Amino acid sequence: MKTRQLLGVLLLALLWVLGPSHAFAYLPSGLVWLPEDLPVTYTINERGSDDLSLEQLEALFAASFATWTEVPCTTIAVSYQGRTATEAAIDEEHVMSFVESGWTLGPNVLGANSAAVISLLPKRVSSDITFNGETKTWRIGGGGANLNVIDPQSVFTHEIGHFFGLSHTNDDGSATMAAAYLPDTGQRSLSHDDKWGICDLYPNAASTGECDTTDDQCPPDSACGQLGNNFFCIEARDGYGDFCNSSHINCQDTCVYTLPNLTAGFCTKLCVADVDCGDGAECKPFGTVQVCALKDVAPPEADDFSTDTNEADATSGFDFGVVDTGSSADTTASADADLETTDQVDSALTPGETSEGCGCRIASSSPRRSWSWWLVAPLAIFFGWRQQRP
Amino acid sequence: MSHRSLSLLFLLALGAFGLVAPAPVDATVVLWSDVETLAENADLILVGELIANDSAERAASFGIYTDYTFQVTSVLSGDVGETVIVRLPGGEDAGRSVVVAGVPSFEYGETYLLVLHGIQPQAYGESGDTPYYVPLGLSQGVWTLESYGSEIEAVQRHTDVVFLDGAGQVVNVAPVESTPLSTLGARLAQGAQR
Repeated sequence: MKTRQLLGVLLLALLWVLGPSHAFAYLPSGLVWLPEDLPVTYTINERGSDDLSLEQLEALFAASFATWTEVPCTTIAVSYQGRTATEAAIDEEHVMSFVESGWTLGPNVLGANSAAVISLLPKRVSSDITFNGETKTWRIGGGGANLNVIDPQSVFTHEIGHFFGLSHTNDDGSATMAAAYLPDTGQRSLSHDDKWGICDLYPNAASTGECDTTDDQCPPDSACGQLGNNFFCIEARDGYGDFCNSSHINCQDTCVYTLPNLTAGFCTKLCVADVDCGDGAECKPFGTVQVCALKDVAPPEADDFSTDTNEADATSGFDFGVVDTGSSADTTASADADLETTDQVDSALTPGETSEGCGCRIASSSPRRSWSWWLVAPLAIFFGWRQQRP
Repeated sequence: MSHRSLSLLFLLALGAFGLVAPAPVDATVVLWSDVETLAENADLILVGELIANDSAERAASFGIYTDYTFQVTSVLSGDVGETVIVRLPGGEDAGRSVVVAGVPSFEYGETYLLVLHGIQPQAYGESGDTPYYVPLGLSQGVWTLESYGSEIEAVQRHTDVVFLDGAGQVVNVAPVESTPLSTLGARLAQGAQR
């Protein structure tokens, strides 16, 4: 095995373990293309999509890949190899395809990147992206509140992030690599967290990022800040209680809708205790769950939300003897919906300030990192043994 | 033993411990549903214990799939026999491995509450009319059942949290924390009756 290749694997594994300098930020998935792999090739299955022409698909994939490759501080690059009859399979052709019949991940899953290391000697990697054409309609711009109609470029850009080695981010609910599909098409554009990730994985020594420590080069509502080795324009995200809807999502964590047609909602975060919410905020009941809200400001009224989910007379239907008569009835927030509290809010969190401890998010990073030690340790031993040989 | 042979031996040893397994590649974009909507759209809701699993290459888009066989112990909604097979992409077959992170995994002997969507065998190039199943919303449709004294808690361990309704109807949020089974069951029952 070439020492360079092994060193590359080792360094990437170490990168995986060490991760970014922030505790909560982008997460590498573990698969990173090596310099000799660049440009990474891809093809588009000639079956195309029932909803989009092949010409549209080619343009959309080109734009989605370019969103990543044109970040100044990265060297990641791709090369389109044209249309192909090849289906997604465990091979070295990286195929983008739609599954119009026989989608096997269920109706709520929009796309998936599946990959495997075929061999290490030489390194051969399989990586394909498939999209759910069976139960979803794909239309440029998406369907707004109709979540059965999906914006292709948003999902393509997200899946390409996986293809390049990024996992879902813990840090920014409005990032391209946030796990959720956001119907406002905002995921077509990378957030600072996405750019930080791609630049850490594929650093370009000739660039220091998109700004030079001053805010002048950044768009309004963003400020220049250093993340890792580069400077990025860091967006000011909306804080707890700020307005959001299916056309506008700029939440640090998540947008919870308060109207069935998704035309109104508020930014918040699931929580189990006040400590999950950070300074100046509390964990308060909302419907059947608890959400973070600013102190002395109640979450919006939950009645429009799902008034029938806390009925005490429902039975579980299971034979487990534990009967809960539903104290949850009192968990419905009683305060008035007041989405105008946004004026009182100035709590857009910066990445370093994101509160930790919400049970809904803390599980995502540590298992992977502990797994990676099993890879790193033997490789380190092996590499050391190789170095000591005469 | 030559240098090259030692290197190969070492890599084979790594492989024996699963360390040359595929990279843990992340996978999916998911529309998240509240629990009631999840139940409303489910074909089958049950509690079962994992009694077997088997991986093989299938004629479907993700190549290698793993069949998880559950002994059914309780059914909330839908018709099913004594066992049910949950088929998910990923696994090892003939020395090759596929990992689709974001896809839940199961442990032998554990008991799970599953909200499932049926997929006909033709999707995998097979004949017959007995469906395989996939958890709705992947890990969103999976809870591990754990006993705490007289209490049974349903614990959901998915890593990604979003709050969108896949049906475009009433939107709620899906808790990921430990929930009393009776409370979760009541919500699922209400959704299944919609």
